[in-house]
This record gives sequence, structure tokens and C-alpha cells, in this order.
Amino acid sequence: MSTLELIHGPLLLPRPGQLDRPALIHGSTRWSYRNLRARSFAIAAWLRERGVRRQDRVVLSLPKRPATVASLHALLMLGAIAVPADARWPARRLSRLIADAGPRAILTPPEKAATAEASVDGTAHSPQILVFPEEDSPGLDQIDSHANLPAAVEPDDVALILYTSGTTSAPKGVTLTHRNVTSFLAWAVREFHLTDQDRLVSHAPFHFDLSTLDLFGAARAGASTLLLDETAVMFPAHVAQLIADEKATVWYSVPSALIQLLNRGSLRDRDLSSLRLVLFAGEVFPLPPLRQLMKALPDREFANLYGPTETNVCTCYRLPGIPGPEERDLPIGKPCEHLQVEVLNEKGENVPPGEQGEIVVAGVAVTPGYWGKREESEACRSRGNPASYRTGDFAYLDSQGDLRFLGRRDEQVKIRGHRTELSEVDGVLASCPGVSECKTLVTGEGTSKTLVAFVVTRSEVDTRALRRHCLHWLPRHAVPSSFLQIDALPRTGTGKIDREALCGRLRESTGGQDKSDGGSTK
Amino acid sequence: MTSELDRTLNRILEWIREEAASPEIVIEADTNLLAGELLDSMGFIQLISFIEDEFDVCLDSGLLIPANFETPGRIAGLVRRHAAAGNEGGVPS
Repeated sequence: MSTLELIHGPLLLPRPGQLDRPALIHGSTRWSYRNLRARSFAIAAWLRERGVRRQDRVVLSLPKRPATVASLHALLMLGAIAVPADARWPARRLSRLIADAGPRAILTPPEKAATAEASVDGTAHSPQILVFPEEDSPGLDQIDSHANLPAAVEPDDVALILYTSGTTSAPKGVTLTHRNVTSFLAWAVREFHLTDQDRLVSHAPFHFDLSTLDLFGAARAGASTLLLDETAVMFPAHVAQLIADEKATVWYSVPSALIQLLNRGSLRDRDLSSLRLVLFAGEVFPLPPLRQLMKALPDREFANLYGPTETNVCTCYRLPGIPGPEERDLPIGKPCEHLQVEVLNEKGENVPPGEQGEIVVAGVAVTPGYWGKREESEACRSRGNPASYRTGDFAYLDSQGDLRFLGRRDEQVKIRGHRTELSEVDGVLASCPGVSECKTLVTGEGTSKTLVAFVVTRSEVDTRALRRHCLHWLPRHAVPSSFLQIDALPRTGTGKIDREALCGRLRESTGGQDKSDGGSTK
Repeated sequence: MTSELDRTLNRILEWIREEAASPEIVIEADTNLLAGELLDSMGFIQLISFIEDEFDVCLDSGLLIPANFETPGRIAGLVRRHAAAGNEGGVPS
């Protein structure tokens, strides 16, 4: 086994000279790789003392800080499974994740301990609440040895569980092994020539698969990571200034974040000459703002990456230049070398170029499945191949041999890059007292995409009560921006909910301004 | 002017309580919106749009810094300063 088949491998076996290079930058905090390594070992020892063992799940309900990165490495060193959560998720959302993951422990900062306690209340498991030591508390700095670490972490051990929206009202956890992640990292480091001279901006939260490149790809290349925390990402002008001040070289985010940077970042007033590579993934980048961005940042490399959490990036399109006025959309490109990507029809046969089919991915980066959901995991396999994944995304091969994304035929949508199952939102809304039926649709395009819920109630229900109920259970992006109460949901002849009719009602209520699709685009 | 400031503050508080904050969190004029991670980036962008529409001001990118958005009180102050500047024809754009 090569150490580089383990996500934390670069910390176990750093490159020559790497230990003295910067690893993490956050505000005025700067950690060298030596520091990150020492902290990670110390936290691993701290966790081990508290009973964390190989393949135990540990939820990280921690803010984006260097110490959180060290905790991720520490868990991986122990052979444990890291389950990153969003510190802003409501307690009930967290509790459903906890019920699903069955963690041994939840790592939380002191000020969030009460939320963590509330999340554990009533769940069948009773994980330990581990209040994470303050940055400068005694104890963590004193241990700098990996003598206590188990030697037996294997590349096929599950390393991470990334929770995403589920089709029922519960979130589902995508398990990723060390090998799943490192096969992607090896590809990305090679493809984009990442070196120890690079400085990657970490925009995505740690429960997003994009963050694996920012954190672990940087470590693999000996590069450094500029952590943008939850507050920083709210202020695009501040982010642009940080890129300039810290001379960041690589940006990777959802298009929405780049559009905010373009609209509110005062890019013209900043010296962003250090930035050489802009990567985006997670949703379709509308061409007008992309063209503007490429004009504002000339002579940079831009690449459109595609891939669900279950496979991480599986196709890549490097833009040859600013898309011309005749271009209507951006290709998602060609398969990455470490994966096989095919477009298949309903019989599982390859379709000829130009014909649409489902994107099916096979190979080393494909998830072994959803945590604790064998049937759902197997339902996503193609032709019984356990290392394959049917994405549910539809595409065709164009005349240049590039894949072109078309959309989905189910209820999964992307709201500013956040994968959201409309049925999860419906499930939560249906559990609100007084609601008898509901159906959620997507409205708007690009960054102005939001959810609209049609609700049938048994009695008078205040819209505010509906919103509050959703805020209790769902992450913010999944909370509908408006609730339209109607007498009954329109149905088709076969009794299915008539989405077309609902879209019509929506257009009426917005005076024809609306373009809702009920979930057919990504 | 003070009552105008109060009205602005109340509208901002109403919006945050309604649209952005989790129901269990109490939001007052001096609640730190950033330290507690009450708002996320999407909530923040919606807040800016709300402010610009509701108070008819245009907030220049340079004003969108953490110090101006720490508390609802600070945001109200920012809005009033810029609404006043707008009346004199000096809105930054």
C-alpha cells in the first residue's frame, strides 16, 4: 500500500521540505505543515483517549477553522470516519443526521454544545458530546508522536460520510473510502499541475465534496489552503481582497459564489494577478455572467467540472476561451482518466453521439454506497457492477466528443449548488400540523433559483408557521421562499400531481414572469 | 430622524426574524449576526436585496464589509446614512 492511497498520507509522509511550508491560512492564523501535523497527531491522541476507534463515525459540528482541518486529519489517522456537518444546521436536521450515522461522538465548540445536546435528545444512539478544546488550551500541543496510532488504516476503509438531501424527509450519507478520494486527488493534482507554489482558496463548507480538493488536494501537492470561513464567504469584496492579499492561485467553488464575486467583489479594484486557475462545479454556470467573469479575469484557465458526490468529479471541460455569442451552454467535457463515463439508454446500452441517455460512472472513485442504505445503494448500480453509479443526470455526446448536460428526470434540483430533493422538502412540509398535501417546485434561473411550495391545509395555517417549521428541519437553501395555499393540488388523469398546472398557477401569481420547471434542470 | 432609524431597525429585525434566523434564536438590535453564524451567504445576499428594495438605497460593494453588518442596529445605521446621502443625490453606486 502506498501512503498516498490514504487521504492523510501527506501528513504521515511529507515531501522533502514540506513541513516548513504553509499549510493553512485563516485570518491572522498561519499553520505550517509541521504545525498541522503536530495538531492532527495531538487531536488523534485526544480522540483515542475518549474511545474513538477505527471505523467509528464522528460528527464534526465545528466551524471552518484550522483546528477543524486538523480534526479531520486526526480522525482519518485513527481510521475513523469523519462526518462533517454544517455548524448552522438546525438542531433537528443535525439530529436526523445523527440518527442515520450512529456516531460514537460529536465534536462541537463550547458555544454549540447545547445544540449538540438537543440534537442527541430522543435519538436511539447516544453519542458522546466532545466539547472541542479551545485553540490555545493546554494538552493538545504536548503530544507530537504518532506512536499511538493504529497502523492498520486501509485504502478501502470508509473515510468520510458526506450528507446530502435524501428523497424521503431524511438526509442520506454518501460514504467515501480513502481510495475514492485519493484517486480523485491524484487526477486533479496532475490535471491542474498543482504544486507547492499553489495556494488554494477553500470556499466550500467541509460537508461539500468540493472541499476535498481544497484541503486534501493541497496537502498532496504540498500547496497551502486559504480558509474562507462562514462569515468571510458572505462578503464577496472581502473575499476578493483576501485573494489579493494572500496571493491565492486556485479558486474552486459553485458558480453562484463566482457570480457573487463578479457582482459584489469589486474585482476591478483588486490585484488578482496571482490567480491562475478558476474551477467550478455543482451547478450549471449561466453563460452571460461566465463571459463577464472571464473578461474581468483575462488569461486565466477556467474549467467546468462535473460529478455528483457519489463519484466526485468525473468529467472536465477546460474552456478554450470566452464562450462565443452563438454558444448556448457549456459542455461538461470528457471523462477524467481515473473513471469510465458512459451515456446509456434504459436498457443499459451505449447511445450513439447526439442521442440522450443517462450518465453512468464506473471506477475507483465511485462510492461503496449510502451509509446504512443497502437497497438504495444497489438501486444506483449499473448492470450489477458494484463500482458503478447511475447519476440520474441526462446528457449527450456532442460532435467534439464532449458531454453536454441536459438535466434530470427526477425531483433533484440544485439551489446555488446545494443538492436538494424536492421530495425531502415536501416530506418536511407534510409533517407540519394542519398541512394535508403539498408540492414544491423550483422557480427562477441561475442564482435566483428558489423554491415555491403549494400547500393544501386542513385548517387556516399561517405562512409564517410553515416557514418556521421548515427552518426547524431543513438547511436554509431548502426552505421555500414562498408558500402558496391552494384548495387542492391539481391532478392528471392518472391521479399524479399535475406539475404543469401548478407551473401555470405560479405564472399567474407572478404575472407571467416565472420560469418554473419542477425539477428538470440541475 | 430617530424615529426613521427606529422604523428602519424594526423592518430589518422583522425581516431577519422572519426570513433568515432559525426560530429558536432571539434576534435583537444588538445581536451579533456574524459571530453566531445566524446568516449564511445566501441569507446575506437576500438581506442586501431586501435592504436595497425596501429602503431604495444602493449599497456599494465597498460597504459590504463585516463591520457594517455585525448587528441589526449597525445595518439600520448604514441604511439611514445612505438613504440620507441618496436624498442629497450622493448615493454611492
